[in-house]
Amino acid sequence: MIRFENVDKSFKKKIIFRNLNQAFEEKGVFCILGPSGCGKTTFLNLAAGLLLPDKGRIIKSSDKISYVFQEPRLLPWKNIRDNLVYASGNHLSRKEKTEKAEWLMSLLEISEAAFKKPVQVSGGMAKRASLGRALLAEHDILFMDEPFSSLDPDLKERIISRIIPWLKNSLVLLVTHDYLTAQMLSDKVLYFTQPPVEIREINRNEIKNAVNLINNKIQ
Amino acid sequence: MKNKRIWILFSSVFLLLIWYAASVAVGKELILPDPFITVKYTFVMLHGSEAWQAIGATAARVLFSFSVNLSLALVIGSLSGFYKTIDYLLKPVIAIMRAVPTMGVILLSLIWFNSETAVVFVCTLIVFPVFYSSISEGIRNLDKKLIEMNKIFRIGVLKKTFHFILPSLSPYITSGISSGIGLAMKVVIAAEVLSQPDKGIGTMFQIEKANLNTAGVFAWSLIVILLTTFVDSIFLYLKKKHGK
Repeated sequence: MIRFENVDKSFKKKIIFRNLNQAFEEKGVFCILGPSGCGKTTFLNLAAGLLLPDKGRIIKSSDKISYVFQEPRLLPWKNIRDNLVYASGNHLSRKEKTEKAEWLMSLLEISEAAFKKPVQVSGGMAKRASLGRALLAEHDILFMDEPFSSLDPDLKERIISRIIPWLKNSLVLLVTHDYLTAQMLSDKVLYFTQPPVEIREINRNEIKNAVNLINNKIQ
Repeated sequence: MKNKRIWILFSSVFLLLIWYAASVAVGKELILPDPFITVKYTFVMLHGSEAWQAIGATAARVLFSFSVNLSLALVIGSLSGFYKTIDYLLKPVIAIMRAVPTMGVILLSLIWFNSETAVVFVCTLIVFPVFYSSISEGIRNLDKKLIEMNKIFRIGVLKKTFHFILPSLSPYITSGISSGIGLAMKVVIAAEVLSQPDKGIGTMFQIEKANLNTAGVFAWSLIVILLTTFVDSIFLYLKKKHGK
């Protein structure tokens, strides 16, 4: 569970959230759609505790969180496999962690990069490694900020369908601009307006329109 | 790469020629011995055990002060890198340590301590700021995004220290070491000249000077240069190896 209670947040003079109330009570994948720069990442960072609200409070039912950042944020001196294992927490033995990491790498089609350093792999692979790291880490709540943005459509579809089971037992907040991602993964879809943000829940059959609206605005 | 070596070689030969020409012009070994006499005298000295004992003793002092320094700087530098207040509190202390004249410190520490302690004390006082600044800078330059990553995944202090902070600091530590080692050597030798411990390069300098053996002073300078270059190249090698 995550609850935003009367949250205000602004950067310099720009008000992003004003008296925001929003609750995520049950498990499931909540997709967050909205125009660029409207505050979706800020919303995740507030929920994750990386940012503090100017006013109001944010309550989480668990501190066991995990995050797929927009950039991979891997440790440059560790290879891909060790980067996955690094963040995996203490709930598994070393051997189990490694095995699970290897299994995840094969799902994400990055096994060949297991013993390479982040600088030696492509951006897309690094991104998938950071997705693997977040899935492997012990968590009740998972934040994902455009996790599939640099993947080509076929690979994206394969990977999304493979990770669905991994998202089942968590509360997932997923920021995306992408129709396929939202369509395949979301249990509920939230639409963020331009700041000061208002959040509207939309139906799954409205996703296409919303995504088109956002992407047309970008162009 | 080839060009680089040629230019460096050219410059070295040029310096040697100037040295030789100057010594011929002066014409007195007591004032300015020529390069050949210096090298010859160096070999003669290195043949005996006394010189090696002096080198060993000085090296031990440098190494000891160095490790004390580095450990202190790692702890204090990290603290000041993480906490602005500590940084501000230490600013005047570090400023004084940087500005204080080396000779003043050496003379005072000779009054306060015995000759062994004095050397180590002086070296610590003079070299510490170099390490300290480079480590606190390293901490301040830690990748904010990776700090957040560590926070999100609730990485423990020990694991974070050994797998994130120390590897991030390693370029700063190596650069601190390579700029500090020459300084430490010079300071230790200067302190030895005045404090006259039983064995030490500084002591040897003083003896040669007292005997009016200018070639000896030159020879010891040459040995110090060689030692510093040797240590430097070890660190360069380690740096290169680490970089891969």
